[in-house]
Amino acid sequence: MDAVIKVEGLRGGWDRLPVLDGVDFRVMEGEILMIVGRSGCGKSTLMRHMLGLIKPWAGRILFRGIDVWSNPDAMLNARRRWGVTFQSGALLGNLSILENVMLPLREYTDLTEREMITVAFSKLETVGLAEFATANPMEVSGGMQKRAGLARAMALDPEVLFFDEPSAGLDPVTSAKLDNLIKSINRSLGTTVIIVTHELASIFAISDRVIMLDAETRGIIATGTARELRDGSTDPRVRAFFRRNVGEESD
Amino acid sequence: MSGKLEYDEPRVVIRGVLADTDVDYVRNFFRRYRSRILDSGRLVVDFRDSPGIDSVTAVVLQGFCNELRRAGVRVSFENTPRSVMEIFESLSKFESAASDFKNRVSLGETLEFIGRSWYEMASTVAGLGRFLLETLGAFLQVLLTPMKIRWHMILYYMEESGYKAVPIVATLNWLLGVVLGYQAGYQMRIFGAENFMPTLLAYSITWEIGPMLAAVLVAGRSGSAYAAEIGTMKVREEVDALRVMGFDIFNYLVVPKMMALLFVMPFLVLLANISGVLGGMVSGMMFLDLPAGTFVSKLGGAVIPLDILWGMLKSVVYAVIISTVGSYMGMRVRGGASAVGRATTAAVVMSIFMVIFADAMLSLLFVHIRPGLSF
Amino acid sequence: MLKVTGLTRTYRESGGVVHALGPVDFRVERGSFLCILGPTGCGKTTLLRLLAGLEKPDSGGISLPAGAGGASPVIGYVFQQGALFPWMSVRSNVEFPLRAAGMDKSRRRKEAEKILDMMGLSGFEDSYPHQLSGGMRQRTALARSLVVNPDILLLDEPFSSLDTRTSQELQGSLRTLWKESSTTVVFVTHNIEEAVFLARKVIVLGHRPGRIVRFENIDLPEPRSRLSEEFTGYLVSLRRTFEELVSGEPEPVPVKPR
Repeated sequence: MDAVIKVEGLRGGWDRLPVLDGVDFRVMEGEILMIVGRSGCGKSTLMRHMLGLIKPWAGRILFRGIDVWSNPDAMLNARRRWGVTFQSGALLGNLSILENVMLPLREYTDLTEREMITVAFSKLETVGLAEFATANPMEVSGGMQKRAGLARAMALDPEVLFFDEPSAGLDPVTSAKLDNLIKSINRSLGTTVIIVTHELASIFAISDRVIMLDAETRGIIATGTARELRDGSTDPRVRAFFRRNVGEESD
Repeated sequence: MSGKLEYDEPRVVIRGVLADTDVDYVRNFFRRYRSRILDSGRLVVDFRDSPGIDSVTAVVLQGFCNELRRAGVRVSFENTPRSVMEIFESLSKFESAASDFKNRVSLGETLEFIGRSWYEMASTVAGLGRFLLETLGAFLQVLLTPMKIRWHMILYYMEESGYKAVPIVATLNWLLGVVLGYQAGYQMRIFGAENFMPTLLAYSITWEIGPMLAAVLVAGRSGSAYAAEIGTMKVREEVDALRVMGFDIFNYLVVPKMMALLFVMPFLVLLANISGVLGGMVSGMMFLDLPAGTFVSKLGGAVIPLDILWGMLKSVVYAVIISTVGSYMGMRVRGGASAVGRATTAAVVMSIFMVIFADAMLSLLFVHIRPGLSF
Repeated sequence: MLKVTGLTRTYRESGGVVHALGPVDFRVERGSFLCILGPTGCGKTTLLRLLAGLEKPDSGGISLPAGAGGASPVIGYVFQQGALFPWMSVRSNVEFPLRAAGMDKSRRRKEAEKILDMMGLSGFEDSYPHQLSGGMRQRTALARSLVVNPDILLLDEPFSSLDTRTSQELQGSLRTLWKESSTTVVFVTHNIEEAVFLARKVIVLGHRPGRIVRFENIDLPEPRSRLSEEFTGYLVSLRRTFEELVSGEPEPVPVKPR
């Protein structure tokens, strides 16, 4: 197994506030990696650094061996190969769902209008939204907005899919459905998936590997499978995080 | 990029992965071999050396295959990986749907759109009317119980909307005065009438341009700011929080803005008039050899106090319009941050529209009350 | 007694009329703790806003538990994102609703001091909302709604954007405060576990139009434990109702050609 993304000695934060100090890890081909931790541990900041939204203070983020921050071409190439699903879906409200999915195609490819519509429809079908293609994002439920965001992220058949808090604002059942969708995409298409979350149910349901961050150490305090961390860790912070509410995992 | 496709009649062999960057390559390839494929009447797309292609290239490839099929070519696929089969299946499901998807705006829909726009416009005006009535109600109530006047908020908005607007109102009106003085003077000189330039300038500035430009600038600066402020509070549910706590949101959010504008607008108009006329004076001195003294004495003969007063009076109406429209557009915000942006734009457009409309109405009135104007 | 009869609410949108809620009927006795549980977009927030008088129903009636001496009831409302005033410090935010009641400055300060202390916010009085963590912000929002001694406290998914541990801490605080008071609480959530932990009664709302599909009394020994078998029992049973709701029908949304 190769590493798709390597993060080396990352130091960073926002507004001069240090959040991460010396973060190293790699993301393996085809895995579902979850970056977890309590609110304020820097997991969202880490993702923003990786996505090229905030410049790291030090360290490197390598995508297939090339530092994405080294030059604009590397960044552009990475962005083209990556798909991102934001917390709220981040759909443009003045476009229909279909047009939202067409956006990356319009930006990065030379397809004709008709070809773009065909591809966009097939992506919407993957997430089960083909019949809502013409609806406005504001008219559909939160869960559907996220799925539409996922379809848009998948428009260019990305090698890596990023998710920022996919379960935020969703009820547990809708959230579980989304998790299943993510997993089936990962398994059938082989897409590498990176998810930032604090939702235990998701972590146990679909993660292959987990990285836990902590606000005080500003770095990774544990890595392993969800079960290893729950049952094997001696770190009280890890234990507290993974054992908070047994009730939710019982079914 | 070459070599990813290879034509070996009747076969097209795909080598390696075709990605979205290869779209042009694929298109060119098929264009190049189109006639040869048509001649042979057969095409076999062979995936034996390819792990797969992505949907973007797939849709292009499939488009060519379908086109060739229609032209009578027998097209088949060999060694297709399952993932590619799935992509093709999914795409073909939507191909025909896509072709008749766009260009669907019929006359009926256009009429419906126009009708709906008018309906929305009408309902906006109606809503605005109700909002204005409620604001005026709260306004009167506040006047009757001066304890409730939120002086610090009024002062804050006076500073934001009045004091901070002074430089731009003065500069732009001065500039406009210079330009107007020059252009009017230039035309009038042809008839030897440049001595009347100060009169023309003074009337156009004090009757129309001064108050109007001041109002447009305030609408752009403050009308939008009011809509953004209240809209943001609405999105963050702060407006609802105020209501639940028992605050009168008209008194709390709208009335201070209106009062502040009522206080500052007349003075902004006065300032606009003075700087506009000064601009004209500079113009006269520089281009028309009109000494400042002559200019001022001409003004003294033409302008009566009512001219100045009228502009200030109109500004009171503008103040009500701008503060009400700004607040109303803010209050109408529903949903997320993008709605706030739309509201600020709507506030500016709507208040400028209404200011000009009100100005037209008031001018009809002015013709009757100003001595020496009616024919 | 909180009594709701035949309550309905529709919205007019450009695409047509959306039937958001009802008809809904229920009653809960004074001092009870009611959770309204439902999937995203079922109209539960609408119901809460109707109770608070923030919106007017199309039909039906609401009678709230009366205030002290038969006065009209004092309402406390906690918004999903807190809705704190960003230009005010924590202390000013908490004092603020007392201004509407016309209380003088020194008393306002004293009342606020008391509640800030109770909510564990001492030491943060002079911070501004953006300097606080999500949990502290919601504590402040809770303090602001409690400072008026509400007869009825309405909460709209107040803990949903917090991480589980912080949200459980706040659930604990809320429950303790409620037990010491005679306030009627209506708490809207989509989190089943939260509802079972907090509520004495749970109403499950179905999809648009939001209507009651289940009414459940939660009888658990005090203090409640999330690990007890009865707790899990309620959890599983409610989750089943939930699952039927979400899978049973397609997500009802207006699809309009553009």
